[in-house]
Amino acid sequence: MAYKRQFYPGESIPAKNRKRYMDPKVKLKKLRDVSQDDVVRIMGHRNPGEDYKSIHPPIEEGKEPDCPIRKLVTPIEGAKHGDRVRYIQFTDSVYFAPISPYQRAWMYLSRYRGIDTGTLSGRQIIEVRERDLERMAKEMIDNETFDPALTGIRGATVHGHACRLDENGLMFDGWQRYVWDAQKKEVVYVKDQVAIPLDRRISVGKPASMSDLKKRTTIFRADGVDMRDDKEVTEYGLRIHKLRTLGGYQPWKVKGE
Amino acid sequence: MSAPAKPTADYAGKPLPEVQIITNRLLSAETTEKLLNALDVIPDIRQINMTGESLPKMINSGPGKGHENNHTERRVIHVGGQEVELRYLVGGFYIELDVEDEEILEARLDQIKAACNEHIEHGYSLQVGRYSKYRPTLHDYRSA
Amino acid sequence: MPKYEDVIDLYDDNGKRIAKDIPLEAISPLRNNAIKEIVSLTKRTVAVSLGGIEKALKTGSMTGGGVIIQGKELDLPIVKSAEKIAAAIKEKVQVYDGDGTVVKVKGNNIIVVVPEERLNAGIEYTTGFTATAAATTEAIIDLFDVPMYKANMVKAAVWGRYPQTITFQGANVKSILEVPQNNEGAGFALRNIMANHVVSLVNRNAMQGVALSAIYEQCGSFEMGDAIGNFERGALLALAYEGLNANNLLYSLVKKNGKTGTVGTVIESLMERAIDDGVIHVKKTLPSGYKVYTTDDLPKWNAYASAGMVAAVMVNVGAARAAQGVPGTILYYNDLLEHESALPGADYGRSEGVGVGMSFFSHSIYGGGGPGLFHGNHVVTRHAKGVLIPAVTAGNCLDGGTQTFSAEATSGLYKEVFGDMEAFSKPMQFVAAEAKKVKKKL
Repeated sequence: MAYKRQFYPGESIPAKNRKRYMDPKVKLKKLRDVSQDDVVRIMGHRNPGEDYKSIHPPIEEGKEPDCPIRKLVTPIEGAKHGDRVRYIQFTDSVYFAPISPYQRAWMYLSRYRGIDTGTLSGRQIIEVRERDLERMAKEMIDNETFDPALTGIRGATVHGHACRLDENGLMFDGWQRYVWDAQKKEVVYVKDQVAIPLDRRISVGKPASMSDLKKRTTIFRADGVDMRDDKEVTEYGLRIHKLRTLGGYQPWKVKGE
Repeated sequence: MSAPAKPTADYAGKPLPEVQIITNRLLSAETTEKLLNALDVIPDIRQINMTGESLPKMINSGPGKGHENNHTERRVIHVGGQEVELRYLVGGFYIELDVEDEEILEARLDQIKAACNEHIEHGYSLQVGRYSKYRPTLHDYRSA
Repeated sequence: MPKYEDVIDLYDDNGKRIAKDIPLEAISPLRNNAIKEIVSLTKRTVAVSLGGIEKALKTGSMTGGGVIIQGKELDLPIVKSAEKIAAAIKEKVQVYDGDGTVVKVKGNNIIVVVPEERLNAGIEYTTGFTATAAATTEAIIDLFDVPMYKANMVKAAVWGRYPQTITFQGANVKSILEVPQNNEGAGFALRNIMANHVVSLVNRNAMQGVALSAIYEQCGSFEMGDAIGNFERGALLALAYEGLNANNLLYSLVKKNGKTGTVGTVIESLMERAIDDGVIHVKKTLPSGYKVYTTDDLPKWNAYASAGMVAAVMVNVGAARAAQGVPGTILYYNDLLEHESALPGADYGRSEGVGVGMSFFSHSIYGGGGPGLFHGNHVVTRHAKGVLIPAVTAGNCLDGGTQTFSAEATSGLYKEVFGDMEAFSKPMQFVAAEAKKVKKKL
């Protein structure tokens, strides 16, 4: 029987969005087109056009250690070339950002291979071989999981995800990596992800409206969709807690629970 | 041993009413300046303290360490003819009122609300109480 | 009569069946002599670095920590005299002819397997180290006629700074095991083996690495009282499915997802297999269409979930050829699996919990060590017993050269000296062959 993933319980809007973002069969909407070179500039690991640096010689078939798993698992492009492992880190505002850090982890591991990701307070880092990272980063900035005002590209000092927004509706950033262009009504990056000034202004487009974001978000909030109002999600959480506890006690007695 | 230095803070010595204003959005330097100037003309205000999110002068960590931050909202504003160096994106005000009469308090609150309504576009919450200390304590005499 | 009804087929690292209809008990560390032999060799096998000793004596730089003892240097042709030293060590370590003692020169090293008789006459597993170190010290003093006032230099060059330190810091005799004082608690000895050591012992073969780590970890479970009574079957199932590729579950999961798969698709394949094998079934369908799965055999589901965890690491970390993704993969694999099935992840949630802490400790936030330095005796990994470390070993086996703390850097000697010992390098075949013998007895 071919099994199809079900991803996540629940019928509420955030629950459905979680499923959508995780499902690799769903092609995420592309909302903007930030050029690949500009994505490279914002990340700040290399200059556009510059060669990729490597940390080990290229992987050649037949020259790897004798391991059946290496024969089964195809390395990603960057790994084949021995690229360095670099990162991009997103900060997601609690004010109905399209996605929150933890769901990014679910999404990344459902959609991409060869990655290392970790959730921290208010932010999600993803570390990948450089050339693969650049491709993934562009997708993540261009697609619907990114909002110019409520998603920040921040490598260090990410403080702001739980702060009040500023008067223009932008998530707080003490390092002001991006500014509000009042004329174009767009968000513009003026510094890279670690706040080193960029030599050009990079627009990431117009922020979405709050009503739109509330339809797109994965975030449960008391002033949005309360998690307790999604019975399936609540029931799921209680069930896992219970089964972990019973499993930790006398697993052989757990039958049909 | 030398005599303890006088505390730098200027305490009233008695618990005067304090108006706490928490804004729904963090205010730009321009809005903060306008609001302070609107509050400045209200009588009986003994002092105004502000809080918010810190805006560092320099990039203080990571590979960009040492660069000037150049945050547009970290600048000098002018309040009542005086220069004030703003180092925060302000989101809270504590206004100490030198009033001992309920009626005058109400009148001043109306004036404060009017100033807020005019300048705080995205709303705020306002409460009256006492949120900071009003007399020196041991803490004021600690060595630096 | 076998104790358990469970019967498994064992497959090797290439997915080839090597033992059919094996009763679960036949892979028990209590019954399977190959596992006992692996444990015994782990205690008894010791490497002596002659090159290291010669250099330490010549320069006075010894016992680690930048210490140089000047004025008492000794310029001795120790490497050149390897055969003579080996003969002397053998004479001292051996109890009687044919007692299983092995002393062999390998390059600049001597490999010593101390006889069982010596260990049986004591309580601690340190006998392997102490007997070899003392014999080596004496052999060098005798052979080169080292005077009394310089003999202590030989001791320090061989034993390291011990007993000023708790460990044998800077010693030129290496054992796979740590000193007992470094164990977190009772029964931790076999869990206190760095993933990188295992990577070296199996010559970076990920399947064999998983097997050896699983054997060590599960033997640790038995030793600490964790796999007794009703818990025993769960430990054996995990060892079978995760460690010994029972019913080819692990290999086929990786094969199916190796080319283009993700952690997500590994979960998909695992769910399909668990349903087909009758391990889990739908308990109810919620209004959204979400199916809540249940099981009548939670320990078996745990074994499946653990095998899936290793497969997820092999696919994701393997595709990156970069070991750093191990803890993150363990964490989110288990969480995704729990959301997919509504059943607990590997080790009933504990692997997921360990993944959180290990993510921090293996990245630079806390000074950073890299996942290769981890073992089951570590403060963040000790909670998930038996099933976690094999996944860490798998990831480290598949690294393409990104780690500062690589197996070559931390444990190169183990490969050089022990790498061709079948008990260590091919534990899957070693244990399966013995399981066939046990089967006949049951």
